[in-house]
Amino acid sequence: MSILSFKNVNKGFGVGIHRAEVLKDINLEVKEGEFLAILGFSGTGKSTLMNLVAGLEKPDSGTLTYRGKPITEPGPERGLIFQSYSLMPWLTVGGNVGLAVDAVFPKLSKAERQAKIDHYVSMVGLSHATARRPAELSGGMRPRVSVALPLIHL
Amino acid sequence: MSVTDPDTLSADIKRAKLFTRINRADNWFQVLGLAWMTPILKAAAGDNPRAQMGEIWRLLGVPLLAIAIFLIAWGTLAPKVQTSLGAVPGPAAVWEQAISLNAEAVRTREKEAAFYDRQDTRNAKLIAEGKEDKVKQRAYTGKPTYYAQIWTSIKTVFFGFIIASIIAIPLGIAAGLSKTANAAINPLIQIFKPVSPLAWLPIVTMIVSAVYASNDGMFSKSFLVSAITVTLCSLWPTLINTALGVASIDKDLVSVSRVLKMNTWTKITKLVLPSALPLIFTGLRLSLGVGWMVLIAAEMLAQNPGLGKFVWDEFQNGSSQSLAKIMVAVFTIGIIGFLLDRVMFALQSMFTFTADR
Repeated sequence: MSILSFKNVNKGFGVGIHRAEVLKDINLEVKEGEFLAILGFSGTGKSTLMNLVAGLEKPDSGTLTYRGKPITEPGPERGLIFQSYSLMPWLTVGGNVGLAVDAVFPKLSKAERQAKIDHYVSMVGLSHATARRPAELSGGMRPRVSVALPLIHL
Repeated sequence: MSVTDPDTLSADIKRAKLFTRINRADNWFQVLGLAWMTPILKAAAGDNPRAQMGEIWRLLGVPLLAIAIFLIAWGTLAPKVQTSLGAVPGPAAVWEQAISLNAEAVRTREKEAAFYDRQDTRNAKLIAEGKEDKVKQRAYTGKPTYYAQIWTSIKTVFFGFIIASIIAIPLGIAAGLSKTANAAINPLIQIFKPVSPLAWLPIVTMIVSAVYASNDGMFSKSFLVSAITVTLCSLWPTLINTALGVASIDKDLVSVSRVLKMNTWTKITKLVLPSALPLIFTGLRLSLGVGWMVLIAAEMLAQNPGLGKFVWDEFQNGSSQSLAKIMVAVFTIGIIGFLLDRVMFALQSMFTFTADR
């Protein structure tokens, strides 16, 4: 039983003569526990594929299912690390992780919430930088924060 | 390896600390419009004076020179124009009137204090004689001082401006978030934005007279008419800028909010407001500026006892000092407008996130 399956998925952008078909007739089965890397030249649709899996975009045709159910919208069970690391620039590292904690565990007490935040921040080794804002992080630290966010969903 | 003398080392550290402090203060000087303070402080702290002189000249010397040229041109040209109220007053005459207005305010305040003194002694005497039923408390009904008029204007403009902001920010957020809401609001903005305050005023006057019939003394009608006219004209910059700010949120951050499945409230407080805040504040600044400009016209016609009424009364008065007094009012209006803008700018730099990612 595959966890993720693509059946004849097509996706393109633009209209008329500016139309570009990015993904054509994609069929893919991913088993649970399988580790999959997708390689390709720039502009071949890797990000489009990820956006489809995340549910941020919908396929033009074909079906995309997660555990047998069609993917219609983003959900916490399908974590995504954004290419630009998309952290809220006005929130600290703790604040950014806190947003994701709130999304997954909406009914935590203040202390439990703080414990969760500390746990995930330390998982990516940024305990010393909890109070810093994204602009004050080094280029290598920023992606680590965005790695922490999907981990919370596990 | 050279050994540094501990004395010079600590002096260096002190100097570095001093300059850090000056640079930090510089942010505040910029906000307050006192940018010229920084090079003066730096020169005083021992930085290369020649380098700082250039800055001082540009930030302080040039503006002062421009003001001086303006004053000289005004002083020489103004007396050449003869009006029915005498020659157009020059800077000296205007300054004289500013001083006389201040003196008049002091005199009126003394009169007011004396009036209440007399009333209190009279009442105390009546109570002592056992005639409590004859005790009367009357408010002083003399002419308002110039400062009281300025204060009335400021209160009026803020009342109108706050109402406008309370309406415009939520509407702007709605218009920015939803294309449907934007389609609904946009045509109304386009039509009402260019309307002059003078066109709104008669309508507002009639509506306030009809609706606010009670005489509970909370607001005077002229106050409400002026404030609502300010509201109607200062809605639009905030509304448009809020909508623009909300509509131009970073698409990636919107994706984050979708992945995190934020509900509308969290989305607005954690994502929409923080990222739209700089543009919202730009809108608020423009709105307050428009409001202040509109207020003077509104006060003239609505007879709200503020600066507008002062200008109108002086114009009707037509004494030989009237023009000079009106010019005092012009400078007052300008300086207060500038201060209001600085206040908004200071609030903006306090509340908004500026560091880029």
